[in-house]
This record gives sequence, C-alpha cells and structure tokens, in this order.
Amino acid sequence: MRINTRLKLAVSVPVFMSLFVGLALFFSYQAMEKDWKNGSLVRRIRSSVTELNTFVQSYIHYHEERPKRQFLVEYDSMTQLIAGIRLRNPEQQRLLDKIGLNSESMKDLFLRLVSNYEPSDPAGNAELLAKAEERLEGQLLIRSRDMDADASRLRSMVDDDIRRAQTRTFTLILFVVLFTTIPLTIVLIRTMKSITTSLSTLRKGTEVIGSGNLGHRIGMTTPDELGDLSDAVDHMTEQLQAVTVSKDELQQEVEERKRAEEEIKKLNDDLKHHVTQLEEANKELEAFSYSVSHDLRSPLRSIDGFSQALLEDYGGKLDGEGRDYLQRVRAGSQRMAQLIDDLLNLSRVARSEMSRVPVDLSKIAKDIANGLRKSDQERNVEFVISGGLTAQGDERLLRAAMENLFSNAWKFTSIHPRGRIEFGMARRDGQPVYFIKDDGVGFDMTYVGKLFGPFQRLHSPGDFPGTGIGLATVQRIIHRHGGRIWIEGAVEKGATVYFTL
Amino acid sequence: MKNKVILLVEDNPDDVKLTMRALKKSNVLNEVVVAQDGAEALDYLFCAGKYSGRDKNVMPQVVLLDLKMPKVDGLEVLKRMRADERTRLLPVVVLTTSSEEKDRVSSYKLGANSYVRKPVDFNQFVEAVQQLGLYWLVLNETP
Repeated sequence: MRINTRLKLAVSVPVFMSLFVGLALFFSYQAMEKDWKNGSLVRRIRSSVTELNTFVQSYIHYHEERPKRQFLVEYDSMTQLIAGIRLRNPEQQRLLDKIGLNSESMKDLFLRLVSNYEPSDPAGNAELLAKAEERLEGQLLIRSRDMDADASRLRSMVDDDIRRAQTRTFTLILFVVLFTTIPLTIVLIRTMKSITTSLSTLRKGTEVIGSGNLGHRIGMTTPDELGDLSDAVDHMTEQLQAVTVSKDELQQEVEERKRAEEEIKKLNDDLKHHVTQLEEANKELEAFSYSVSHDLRSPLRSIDGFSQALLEDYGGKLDGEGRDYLQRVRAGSQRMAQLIDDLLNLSRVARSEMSRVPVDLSKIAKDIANGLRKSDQERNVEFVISGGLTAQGDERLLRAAMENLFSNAWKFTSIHPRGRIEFGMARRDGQPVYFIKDDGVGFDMTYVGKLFGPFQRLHSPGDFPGTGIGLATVQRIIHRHGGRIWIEGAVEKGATVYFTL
Repeated sequence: MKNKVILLVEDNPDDVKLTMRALKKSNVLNEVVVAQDGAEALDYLFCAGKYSGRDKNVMPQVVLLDLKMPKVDGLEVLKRMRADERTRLLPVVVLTTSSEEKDRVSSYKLGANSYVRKPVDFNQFVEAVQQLGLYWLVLNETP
C-alpha cells in the first residue's frame, strides 16, 4: 500500500470514528432522554401514589373536606400523567395500565367511602357503616399498596432501562475505539517500519553510488513512493553512468588524439628532415647543373670553334671528305650543346618557383604563332586560335610549354605544302581540356607511351630536328600545375595534344 | 680605335684564343689585354702586382669578363670595380658560358652593362662579338 494511502487512512479513520461516536452518542442521548423523562414521570406517579395514600389516610382519620379535595386533584393530575406516558416495553406499559386501573378503582373506593361517610344517609346503621368503612379502608389499602409496589417496580424497571442504555452506548464506543484504533496502530507501525527500512536501504544505496560505484543499483521494489524514489535514483545513476562512460570514452579519444598528434609531429619532423635533405640535394643538383651548363659547354665551344678555324684557315688543305668530317664534328658539338640546354631547361622546370595567376592562354598562343610565322615566312600555315581562353597557372612555365607544343606542331607540319594548327578548348566531364591540333606528319599510336619520355623520339634527326626533351618538359610543367596531358594521332593524320590544368 | 684597350678576363686559353679570333674576324683591331683570372684583372685595373708599372691613365674601353674563374671570380671582380672610383663607370660586358638566371641577375645587380652568353656555334659567337665591338667600341661614348 502506498504511503499516501496509508496516511490518508490514518487521518480518515479517526475522523470517521469520531463522527460515528458522535452520532452514537447523539442517538443514545436522545433515547436516554426519553427514558429519563419517563423515569421522572414514573417517579412523579409514584409520589402521586404515595400522596393519594396519604390523603386517603388523612381522610379516614379526620374526615375533612380538604384531604378529599386534595385526593381528587391529585387523582386528576395522576390520570393525566399516566395518559401522557407511552412506554416501549409492554411489561412496563402493562404495569402502568395496571396502576391506572388501580387508581381508578381506588378513586371509586374512595368515593364510596366518602359517600358512606357523608351525612347524606343520616338514617344509616352506624355499626354497618363502620363495618363497610373498615372493608373499604382495607380495599383501599390493598389498592394503594398494589399501586405503590407497581410504581416502585416500574421505576426500577425504567431506571434499569436507562442504565442498560448507558452501558450499551459505552460498550459501543469502546468497541468502535478498539476496533479502529488497533488496526490503525498496526497499519501505522508497519508503515513506519517499512519507511524506516526503505530509507535505510536508500541511504546505503546512495552512499555506495556516491562513493563512485556507478554500477550499483538500489533495486527496491516496494510498491510505494520510496520504491518510486529508488527507481528514480537508479535511473539517475544509469544516466550518470552513461555520461561518465562517454566521458571516459572522450578521455580515451583525447589520449588517442594526443598520440596521433605526437605521431604527426614525429612524421612532421621526419618530413622536415627529408625536406632539409631534399634541399641539400637540390642545392647539389643546382651546383651540378651549373657545372654542366658551364663546364660541359666550354669544351664543346672549343671543338666547334677550332673545327671552324680549321675549316677556314686550312680548308684548302683538306679534300671534300675531310671538310665534311669537320662539319660533322661541328654539327655534333652543336647538337650536344642543344641537348645540354634542353636538359638544363627540363631540370629548371622541375625546380623553379611557381606562382599561380590568371594566364591568358589565347594571347600566348597568338604571340607564339606570330613568332613562328616570322621565323619562316615561306611556310603556308594557318593558325586557328580560340579567343578568351584563360587559366590559373605560372605564366612563364605555361608559355614555355605552349612554345614547345606549337614548335612541335610547326615542325611536324613542315613536310606538307599547307598546314593548319589549331588551339582551342573542349569540355570533358565539365573540365576544360585545352588542345593543340595539327595536320602534320602524325605518329603511330603504338608508340604513344614513348612520347613523353626524355630523349624519346619517333622521328630521326634527319627528318625532324630535336632532342626528344620537349614533350617531357611540357609534361613536367602540366604535372606541376596538377593537370593531365595526353596525345592522340595517326600517321599522316596529324597529332592533337590535350592537356588540363 | 687603335688606342682603345680591351681587357679580356678569361681563364680558359681555348676561349681566349677563340675570342681573339672572333674579334679579329669582326675587324676589331684594338689592343687586347688578357687577364687569366680575376686577381690579375684587378692588378691590371688598379696598376698593382705585375702591372704596377703601367700607365695609370690608360683605362680599357671595355672589360669582357668571364664569371667562372679560379681565385677571384668574375662577380667579385665586378663588385670590386664598382666599389672603386676609378673603375666605377667602366663598361663591363659579362661574357660567359653560364645561362643561369641567377648569374645574369647577380651580374646586372652588381652593375654589369651587358650580359652575353657565349654560344657553342662559333659563327654565332663571331656575330655576337661583332655586335659587341660595334656597340662598345664605336657607338658607345664613355663619360
């Protein structure tokens, strides 16, 4: 049972009990009041009986008018009293009725006594009269005693009634009090006990939880408010545990992150170390390429210069073949110089600083086309250049790449009487793809993989001059811009170089 | 033109010979003083060392300066020249094998008047020397 219900019970039971006791007292008082009233009437009847007796005696003794009148007055008042009383008990009513009857016969006897005595019968036999009087007196006495006894009996009966009613009321109250107080006390004691036990369990439970054991549950299942409280505390602990668990997880994550950061730091340090090494290597490479640029070219210049000197100063002493050899020596050294230059260019493209700015590719294409036209005005080549093509990138590098591509196109269209070189843009998957297309000699797609390798050529130097480094350089420039480059072509159908940036 | 001296600073004897030949072919007939390294060039310019006895008033019309040299390199010579009142305004043409951007920029920063890269093709070299001679020995007027 819930504590609230028990307390309500504990309050309402005494209230109902008091109400009940009050009502019981009220009704029993009402009943008793009637009894008391009857009792006092009965007492008055009894005293009337005594009075009547006294008046009879007085009249018998003195034969005066006064007791006679008094008797009659008393008789009337008693008759009225008796008529006014209604008793529940039939025995009592019978007694009362008997008293009434006796009083009536007593009056008759008294009146007969009076008439006997009255001098209305002056010729009366005195002896006879005395005998009759004696007889009447005797009867009166019997009646009187009878009545007295009856009245006394009636009175004691009514008094008994009152006493019984009192006892009944008292007993009722006692029973009510006992029958309500005892269970109530038992209920209250048990409630107190269960509350104390529950509170103690709760206190112990919360102490355990408070000491940090969040896995603990009070688990009290009593079907009252304290049971609810226990459930609430358990629920709270559960939530707390969930939060604490997530806190633990968080801490773990923080630690993991810390570890990861340390790892990153370590990697970063490694990277820095590698960068330093790379920078050193780069410096070495620079020194190397500087040496190459300077020291490798000097002997070539000597070879070329003195071969020329030989040709000029001693050409007459050589035959045609000898002069041809010297020409070949010169051509070789010049080609080697070109190779060195191209190689240096390639390495420079790889390591030079890059800036990203908007670059007008169309304008660069037009500049290059104009330059090419001027270099050989005999050639009949049509340039088709789309306007307004711009891209983000390093202008110097992009110009170098486009110069390479245009000079290739220019070179490979040279064997045809007419040529067409186109620069434009197409979109593939939403991405701008730039292309340079020529209708020159083209190439066999079987060897397309070789085109971007340094020193890889698909034509002999006799057909087309070149070192085979140009496309490698272009590819490096495009890759440095994060773009892609590829080439499509067919023999005698020209070639198209595509690139993205 | 005859009295105008050209100072050629060049450590490679082949290059000295080829440069002389190119000058000759370009009809530059001025006296050419050859310094084989930077130190000798400075000695000549400031009349020190083996040139302590030379006429201090004669200054070269133009200095053809190689960059990569033993002892004192070309850039150092240039720096010392530009630091000295006597040679501050002397035309200096850097004539070198290097095509490094770095060298070109440093040269101009230090006050070189011109930067020419020696081509491998001798004919092109002659052409370049011809133009140099025309400009620095004929057209250019020194202050």
